Amino acid sequence: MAYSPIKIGRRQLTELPQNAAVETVSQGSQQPPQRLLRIVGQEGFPVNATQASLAAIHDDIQGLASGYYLVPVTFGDKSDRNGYYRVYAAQNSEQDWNGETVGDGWQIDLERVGTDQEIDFESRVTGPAIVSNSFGWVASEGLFSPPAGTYALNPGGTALPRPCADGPDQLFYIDGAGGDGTRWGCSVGNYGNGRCRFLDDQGIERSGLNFAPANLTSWTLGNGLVQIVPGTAGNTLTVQHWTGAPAAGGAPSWQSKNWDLTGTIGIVGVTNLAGWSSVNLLRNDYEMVAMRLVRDAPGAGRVLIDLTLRRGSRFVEVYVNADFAATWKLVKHFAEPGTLGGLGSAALTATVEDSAGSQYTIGSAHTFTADTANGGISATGKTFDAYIGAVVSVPVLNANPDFETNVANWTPTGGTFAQSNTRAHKGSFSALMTPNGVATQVFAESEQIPVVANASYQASAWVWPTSTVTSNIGVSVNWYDATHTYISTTTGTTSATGGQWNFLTSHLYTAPVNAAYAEVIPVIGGTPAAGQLVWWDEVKLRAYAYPFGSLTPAQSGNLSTDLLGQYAGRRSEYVQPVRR
Amino acid sequence: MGVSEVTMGLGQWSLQLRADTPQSVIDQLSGGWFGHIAITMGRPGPTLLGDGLLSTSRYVGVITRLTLGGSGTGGTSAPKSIGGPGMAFWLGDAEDKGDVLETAVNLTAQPFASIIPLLLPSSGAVTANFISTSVPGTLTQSYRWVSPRSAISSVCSLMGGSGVNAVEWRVNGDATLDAGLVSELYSTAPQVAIVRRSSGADPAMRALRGTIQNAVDVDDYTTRSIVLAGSTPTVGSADLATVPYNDLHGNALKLTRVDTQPSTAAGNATAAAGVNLALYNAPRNAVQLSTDEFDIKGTTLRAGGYVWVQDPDSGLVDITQEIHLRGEILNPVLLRCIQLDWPLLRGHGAAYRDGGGNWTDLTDYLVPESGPSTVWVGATNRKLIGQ
Repeated sequence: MAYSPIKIGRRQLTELPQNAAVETVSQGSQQPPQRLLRIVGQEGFPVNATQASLAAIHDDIQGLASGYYLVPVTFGDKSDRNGYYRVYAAQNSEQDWNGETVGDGWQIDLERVGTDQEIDFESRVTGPAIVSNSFGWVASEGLFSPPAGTYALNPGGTALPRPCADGPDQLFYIDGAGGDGTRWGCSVGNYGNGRCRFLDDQGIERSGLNFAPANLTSWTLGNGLVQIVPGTAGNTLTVQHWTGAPAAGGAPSWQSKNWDLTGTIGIVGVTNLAGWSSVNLLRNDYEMVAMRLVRDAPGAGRVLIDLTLRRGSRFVEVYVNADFAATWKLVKHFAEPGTLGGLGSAALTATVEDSAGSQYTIGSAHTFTADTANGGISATGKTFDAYIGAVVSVPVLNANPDFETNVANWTPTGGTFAQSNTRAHKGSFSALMTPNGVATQVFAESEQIPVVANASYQASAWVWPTSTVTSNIGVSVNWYDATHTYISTTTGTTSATGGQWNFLTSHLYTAPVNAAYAEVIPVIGGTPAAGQLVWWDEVKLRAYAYPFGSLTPAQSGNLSTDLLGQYAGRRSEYVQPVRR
Repeated sequence: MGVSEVTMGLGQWSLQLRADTPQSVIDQLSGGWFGHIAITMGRPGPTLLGDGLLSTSRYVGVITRLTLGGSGTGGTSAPKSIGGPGMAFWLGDAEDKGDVLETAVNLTAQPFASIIPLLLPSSGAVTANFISTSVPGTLTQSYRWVSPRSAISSVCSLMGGSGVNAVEWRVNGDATLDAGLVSELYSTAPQVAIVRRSSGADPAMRALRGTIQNAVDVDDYTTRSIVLAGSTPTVGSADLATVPYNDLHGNALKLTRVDTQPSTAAGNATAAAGVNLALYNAPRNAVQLSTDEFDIKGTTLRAGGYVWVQDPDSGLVDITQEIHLRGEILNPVLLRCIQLDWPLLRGHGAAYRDGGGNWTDLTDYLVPESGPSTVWVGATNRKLIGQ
């Protein structure tokens, strides 16, 4: 007798082949007739499960039936039955022989929906183009993201990729596809790509809603792009982003940002909202998961913290809802300064990218007070909405920003610009700028880079001067039109402390209306002396925001303003199967 | 069967008593016509609360029906049942019987607040509690040979607007009357959302899940309303500004409703025609929700109150509305609960009040019911037919 694996939705189970899978068709008054497939299996300790996981299996099987969930089913020994089903009924029983052996036998009735050759999926999307907000938003990006591997999307759109921990890039759309009634096809094997999921303390991906997590401080809410776990460094939550190919050139990984969520509650004062008393799921679908943390506020009432995650999204939505008014604050656990930007300045984004080349970005649809020094936002009331996302690996537009091989693509003026291994902020090399001592400005021009008119760009660099420069050092941008004719220069000079690395950023430069190309230019002015050596590293020009409504081939959908626009355009989605 | 509450309607109730209910109790009920039943959460404690139960109970009804006798299984007696209408009965029953206005009540440019007291039963069966002073305008009208219920309903129709500016009345459990703007009688900020998938409670909102049936019809659709008012009569009319439907030949649909209202003053003919048109100028939309949520009636939901309803599959979505509920943004339709049907479940209590003000606790004799509660909701300016 051979056991056979079977995967029902998120759950891997073991089917007992000696009990034939019985399939019946019920005519009766049911139209179309129900086609039920009854399967039987058993999980057991110590055979194929742990004692702790058996409880999860028991609850999840019951949960699938109580929610009448649509699930992809993959059989180990009869792949011709693979397809989409609804869990129509389930029963299971647990037998414990004094802890030496524990068995959970189950029987599941699956109502056949169809194979992936006959079934389309229809996304039922509800909501306006822009959610209610305090900023007068006039534009949004309605993000839509079916499972990776989806085919025949109708209506179609421009697919934008996001590296995903599940393997294939998770494609998403911010134009065209995604309206109510969008239809798509998907094989059973791909249906779980990029899915939203809740993992308990054992790392088991849970099904349904009817279970109690065994450990309130050990769980994961994720979608392959972003995941949230309880904080372990004294912080409330840790939000992790999948970097794909990080700027550092290392392996793809989860990059963590520690966050504190606090409330100023009555006489208690500022209170970290960790230490919740319960965790439960509000919704547990592949396209969206919502969970609720309940935090006791002694003397004041209760605080509900809802965390919502959508398939394909790069941010987690946070909603605090309490019986009482308080000042709520979402802030970096370790201070990381941020800069306000986006529509209505409703997004706060890290001023400096981290070691993986990412920047946190948070925001809200309602008025808040920004803590730019530490990286946080706060608001007062009974409710508080926010999102926590990351700008991940935005492409650097200019060639050779790190000078690891040479200084190709850089043209100096007023001095020399040569590769140096004396010091480096990243890697082993930087570029040493040596003034000639007579030029009023010493600079190096990059190649001409294609840009989009009216778009916003961020120029940045790390600089190590031998002596403190009180002004006249920075990163400028030259703009050129389509015929490569010079238009103008946008300058952003500042100061830099001698004898250490300083991060210089131009913040946001807007390309002129007729701009087609740009040069990024590290520069030091004020007729620097020949001995005022300056080492430069990671000199970059990157896109910050494209004008809404002008989706270009270069638009990534991943900039901080994009994420804000996707927060502004978020809508409710339910996926329903329909026959082709 | 339980309780059926209807906004500005009689409603009805019934409950079953166990076959072994003491005969003394049955005898009290048998002689207790037009006594009252108070239904509560838990044991009512009438000995302690007395008439205080009338204003604190979940529901108060009037006894007008009694079923006794018969045999049950094994030679036992069959359960008894009692029932009747709600407290609006005291303004006038379903046949418009009541403390009929035999003396004409002649109103000349009178404001709402001064009209209503004149129309209350002279017997004192219903007294005034809250009478709004915010209803705009005055009314010139005469009422005679009609019940107070008909007269007050007519005043509310003629003087009210639409939506939250409609004017309604409500008889409370202690036989007092509230009358005024809908926004004064009921909270316009819903505390209940009816959704297809998720149920549970947020701090300020409760989500009820259940099966939703959305019935839409145009059986009473009207494009032009004519009222023949007074004894002469005087013709009043009202027309729809635009008619979006056509007949087979492409002509604009024409459905004229003619209503004879001899008791309506001639000067109110046009206003009355407008009232009728407002009732029937759109598809009738009635959503029925069945839910197993226990005790949905209470502070969170009552007949006449507002609820959010979202069911995209039934077209019940309004993208101009937005609420945040249980981790999701919803765009529900704002509707009013027009009718609320709920069973008397295990855990409910009941007490009987006779005409002399004596109370008897019936909780021990109740036969609990089962089954879902049903919430009927409609658009804010529409009414169910026949109510």
